[in-house]
Amino acid sequence: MKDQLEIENWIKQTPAPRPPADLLEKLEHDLDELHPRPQMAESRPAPAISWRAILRRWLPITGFGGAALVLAFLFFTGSGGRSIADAYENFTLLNSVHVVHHYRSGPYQHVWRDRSLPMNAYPNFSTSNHPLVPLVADDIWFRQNPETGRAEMVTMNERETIWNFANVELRVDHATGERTFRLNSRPLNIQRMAAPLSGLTDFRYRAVTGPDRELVDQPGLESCWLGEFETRGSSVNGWLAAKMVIRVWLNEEDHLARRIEWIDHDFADVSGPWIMSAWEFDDFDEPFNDGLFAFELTESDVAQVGLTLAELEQLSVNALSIELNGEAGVAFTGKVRDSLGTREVTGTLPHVFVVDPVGPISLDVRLSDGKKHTFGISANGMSMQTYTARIKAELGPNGAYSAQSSD
Amino acid sequence: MDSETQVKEWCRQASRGDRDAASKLLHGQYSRIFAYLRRLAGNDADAADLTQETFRKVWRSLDQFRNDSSVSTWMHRIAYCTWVDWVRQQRPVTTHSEHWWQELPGDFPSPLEEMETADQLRQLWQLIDALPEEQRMAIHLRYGQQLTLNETATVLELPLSTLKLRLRTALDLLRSRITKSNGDLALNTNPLTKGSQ
Repeated sequence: MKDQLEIENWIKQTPAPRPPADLLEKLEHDLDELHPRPQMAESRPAPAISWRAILRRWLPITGFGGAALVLAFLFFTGSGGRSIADAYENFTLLNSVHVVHHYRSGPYQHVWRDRSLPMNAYPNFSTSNHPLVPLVADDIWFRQNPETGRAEMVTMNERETIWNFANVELRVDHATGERTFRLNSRPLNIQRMAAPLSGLTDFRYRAVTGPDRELVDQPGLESCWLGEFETRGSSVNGWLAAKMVIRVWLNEEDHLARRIEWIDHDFADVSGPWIMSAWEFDDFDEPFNDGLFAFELTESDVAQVGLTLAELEQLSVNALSIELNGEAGVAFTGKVRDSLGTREVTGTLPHVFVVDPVGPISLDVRLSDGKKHTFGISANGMSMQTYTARIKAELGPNGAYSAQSSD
Repeated sequence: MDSETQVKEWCRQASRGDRDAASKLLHGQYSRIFAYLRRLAGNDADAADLTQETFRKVWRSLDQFRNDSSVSTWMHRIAYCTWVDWVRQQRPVTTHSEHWWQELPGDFPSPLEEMETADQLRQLWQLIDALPEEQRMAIHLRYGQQLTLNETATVLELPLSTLKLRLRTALDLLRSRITKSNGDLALNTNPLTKGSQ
């Protein structure tokens, strides 16, 4: 007990972080724009700051890993339930698998929770992860060489085919034939494919049987055990923030998951439930045809990132390409730092360069005219864009990624 | 008029469009809300963005404030939900860089004699950050923000008994990773090892 009091006191003694010097000024500015003034409401335009605020907060697309981490963060409830943990462990022992990933993709849709407020005022918002946005699918085939650990993956959807081998990534647009080459150092391994399961292992699942099951079952999965976990909704001032359901179909013979669904009820204008994303798994340890993974690079492919094929051969698997995009022709200057030192990058948007780093990278890029423009960064399969004059980003050797505008 | 009554009065006036009252509310609360979000987010820029977002929600929701909690508790609840929403939308792959540990927990009184304490506190916050999320949230609010047990339970929408259990479990975990040295508490050398959870 005495030790606990000492720890409490240690924590309490910690000086509080001090706000940046300009924060109060920004908050006062927001107050001017956002504080309700009923007598002026008719003459005031909708606050222009809101969309920028949303953009500034960045919406990185992190795919499997991100979704799993979000689930893990939101819904951790302690151990229990069926052995999803075993299913995850078994999955990580595979050398090949076919995954179908269903997800919402399309233009942003409004979630208008409070019609007395403007569309861009909290709690209203817009999102591409909305039930009225089409559910599309990626077909993904993955295999890895158990001897070398080198993995390859091919992803097909209606728009394009993407080949990944180690850190090499080639996209081919089905409609135009356009080829896009990038280096993606995010680790390519079976753990990446198992990521949808990794965040689900500690939930307490309810077995779904009988009539309940008939309502939600999927063709071909009738013999699987079906478990369901429902998140607790939370609220801010009475507004429902989230109620989600996760369903997992588990084959009890090989203890591998066959399907995961992520169902959301949290949409004001369209009654749910809605499948927001789903993963299907099959063809475990199948010897896929080599031709499925075959692709050839050309000099013009690798020239997109300023390389030749000979130079590409010399790079390590940690090499990645970083794309700075936004308003075309705007000049920038910046610094890229890794464990070995700092290098400068200059040019005009859009611009792609390659880094073969040792350790994590930090990036600090400013637009040369000091003014805000549409400005973004893409790296390792994640992409962000906003309205700013400066971007800072950090990229870790394990695929970790963070970026922010910094005005 | 006591200070909480005064703050609630500012809140009431602000909800009716009194800009000066809103500004007084802002000045009284923003640094504390920033400190909370700074510890969660791990860097100034994100914490500043989150603080701005929190106060935008505060201004939009002033007329929703009910007098059944303190204004500070209500704002912490909004800040907490803003953080949860942000994590959902950001879907970060990792939350902190090494750089963050160098900055945390902020400014110390300084000189050499303070360095050891500062270093121990940084390590302690590393341990806190390695706690399970629900325990970490409780520790940040109860001890980092020094809310009362009831206030912390209100922010997290937890029964008091559940909160107490989380805090005790968290403190037990922290204690298990801290060793005794010359009668004083000392941190283990590898505080980020999570395997012992």
